[in-house]
Amino acid sequence: MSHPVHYSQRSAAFLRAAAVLGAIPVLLVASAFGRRPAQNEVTRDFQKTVTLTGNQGVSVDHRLGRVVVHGEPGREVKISATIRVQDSNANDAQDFLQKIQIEVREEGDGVHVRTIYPESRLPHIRIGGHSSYSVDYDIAMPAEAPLWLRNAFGNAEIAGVRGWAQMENSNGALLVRDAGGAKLVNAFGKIELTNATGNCSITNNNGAVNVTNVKGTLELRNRFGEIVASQIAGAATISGGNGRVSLTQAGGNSSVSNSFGEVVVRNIAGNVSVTNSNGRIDVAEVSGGAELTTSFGAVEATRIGGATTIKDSNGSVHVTEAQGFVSVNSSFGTVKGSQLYKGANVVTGNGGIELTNVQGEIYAKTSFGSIYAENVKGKFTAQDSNGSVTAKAIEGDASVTTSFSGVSLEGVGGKITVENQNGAVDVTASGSSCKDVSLRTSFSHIGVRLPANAGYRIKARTSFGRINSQMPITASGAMGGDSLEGTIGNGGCLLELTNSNGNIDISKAQ
Amino acid sequence: MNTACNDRERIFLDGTAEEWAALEVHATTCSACREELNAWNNLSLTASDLHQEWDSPALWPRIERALREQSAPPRWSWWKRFFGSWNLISLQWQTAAAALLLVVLTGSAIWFIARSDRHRIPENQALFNDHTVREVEKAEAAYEQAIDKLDAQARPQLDNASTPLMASYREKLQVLDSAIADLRAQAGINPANGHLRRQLLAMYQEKQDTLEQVLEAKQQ
Repeated sequence: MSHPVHYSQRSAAFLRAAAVLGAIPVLLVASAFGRRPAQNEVTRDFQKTVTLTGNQGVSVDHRLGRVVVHGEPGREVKISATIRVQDSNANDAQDFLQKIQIEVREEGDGVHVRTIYPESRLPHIRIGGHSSYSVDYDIAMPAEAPLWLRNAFGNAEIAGVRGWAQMENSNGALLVRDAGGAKLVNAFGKIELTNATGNCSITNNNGAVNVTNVKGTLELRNRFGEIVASQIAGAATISGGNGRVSLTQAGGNSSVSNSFGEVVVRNIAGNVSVTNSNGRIDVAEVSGGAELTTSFGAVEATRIGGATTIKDSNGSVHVTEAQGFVSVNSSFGTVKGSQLYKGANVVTGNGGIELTNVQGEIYAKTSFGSIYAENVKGKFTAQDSNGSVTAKAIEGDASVTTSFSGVSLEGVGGKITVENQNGAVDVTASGSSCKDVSLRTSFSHIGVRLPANAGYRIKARTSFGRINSQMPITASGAMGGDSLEGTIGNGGCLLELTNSNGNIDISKAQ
Repeated sequence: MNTACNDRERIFLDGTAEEWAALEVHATTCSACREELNAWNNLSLTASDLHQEWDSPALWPRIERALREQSAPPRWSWWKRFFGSWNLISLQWQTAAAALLLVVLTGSAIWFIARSDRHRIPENQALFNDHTVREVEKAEAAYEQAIDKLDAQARPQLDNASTPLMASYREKLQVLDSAIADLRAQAGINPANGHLRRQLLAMYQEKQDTLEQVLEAKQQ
């Protein structure tokens, strides 16, 4: 008899517990989804349509909201606006909503749209609520009509307006696509321009700028933000500030100036000029000449069609495949060049110089770095103070001056002149016909290897060393341990070897 | 009874009277056992001299009270009374408890996700609700604190800007401060405007990034 009673008690207890514990997650979920602000948001829609005539355009003057403008066929301007007000007091919200006005004026030059907010909306503090407002526009306008747009504190998006457009925004993004010619100005927001059929001018103060596919020219200024421009049919003039600049594919002479960011330029049909203060420069695929200047960054120039002029203070320089003459002036960086088809003039203060496969002449000057040259078709002139000079396969004359390091010349086809003071000189002359050789140093060794069939009039002198020769010399004039005059072969060229405190060795080239 | 010397230790501890008597008889003929027995007797006499007794009038009442409380029916709390009759160790209850635990965990997860979702700043919302405004204000306050700390570290570098880079950073920070002041003024009279709040957060973020760059430049 007692079993049913116990069962009933346990069931009741079970149900009680289930009700209590089951309520917990229900309450949790309800609290997550059920809490809604005690705010009153009221909305009013504004609609108006006007028709443009002749060359009339549209002007929009707005702030505190988003503006969308799109070009459409026909001559009508369809203005739609959504006005929103939020307030903890429903009456206040409704009252404020009615006070926000959309003014549409039709004048001789077109339609002027302006947002008018009630004045003296002073800040007020309320418990549990805020009073706020916003107006968003959607405007359809004739695609070919001009547009003047001014907005603040909201994004502006313009598409398909192919007439001249002037758009000014602040504190919001300015996004334009499928435009004609345009002047875009922004502050504190990004600018994006995609597809423009005319010339474009863009100015931004603090925000990224991204421009793609402009059929005309591009003038672009940005103070603090990255710049990316590509597919510019005309010339591009870009002035950056503190951000990276990238210009790809411009159809005319282009220039880029920047202060504190990398500059990358590609595919320019024309000349290019890049001036940077504290950033790297990387330029490639330029049909014309290139003038590249920076102070504290590396410079890379590749496949330049015209003359290349580079000025760098504290960065390395690398030039490859330059069709025109290359001129480099640097202070503290290494300079490397290869496949230079018109020769090079390289002056650096404290960096090494390495030039290979040069079709024209080379003039290389440095003070505290080494100089290396190979496969030079023209004349090779090197001036160094405290670095070694090494050259191989020089078809023209070689003239080297240095003070405190070695000189090694191999396979020089032209006249050889070396002026050294405290370093060894090691020279191999080449070619079937002889060229004059003049080697001088003071406190080291001179070694010269001559073609087997070459003829020289030799004048060798050293004060505290010996003169050795593997080649038969017919002596003439004075001959002693420290000086030698005579001829090798037919004596066709001058071989002048002068040393003070080192040996002189003459041998046959292999 | 035959008593061996080996048994004397046991007899000292718990020997019977008969065993003691047998040991004493044995000790008369065994010098080793006699010495041990004499030593034990001396020790017992000394110990009995050291024995003391004193009154403990409160001891027994305490023990008695404790026993009474232990034997009395337990005084249950409301919670114990409520759950007392449920027989919580039964399989049925264990299953129910496991199911409820699962529901609670699921509910908590949903609540957590929904809550974290609400913490995100809506990207396109024109007007924020109260909760979002509070969240944004918290984020702004956090930015301001972080910026103040960074600014204190970077300020000497900026004030003594001797390089063009530092001068440029200083200019940028001035521009950002101007924008922040403008946006804060606007947000003061239009506090739930979504764009203003998003833009203000973006400016704070940019200022923080710029100050971090200044400090990085300083380290370099």
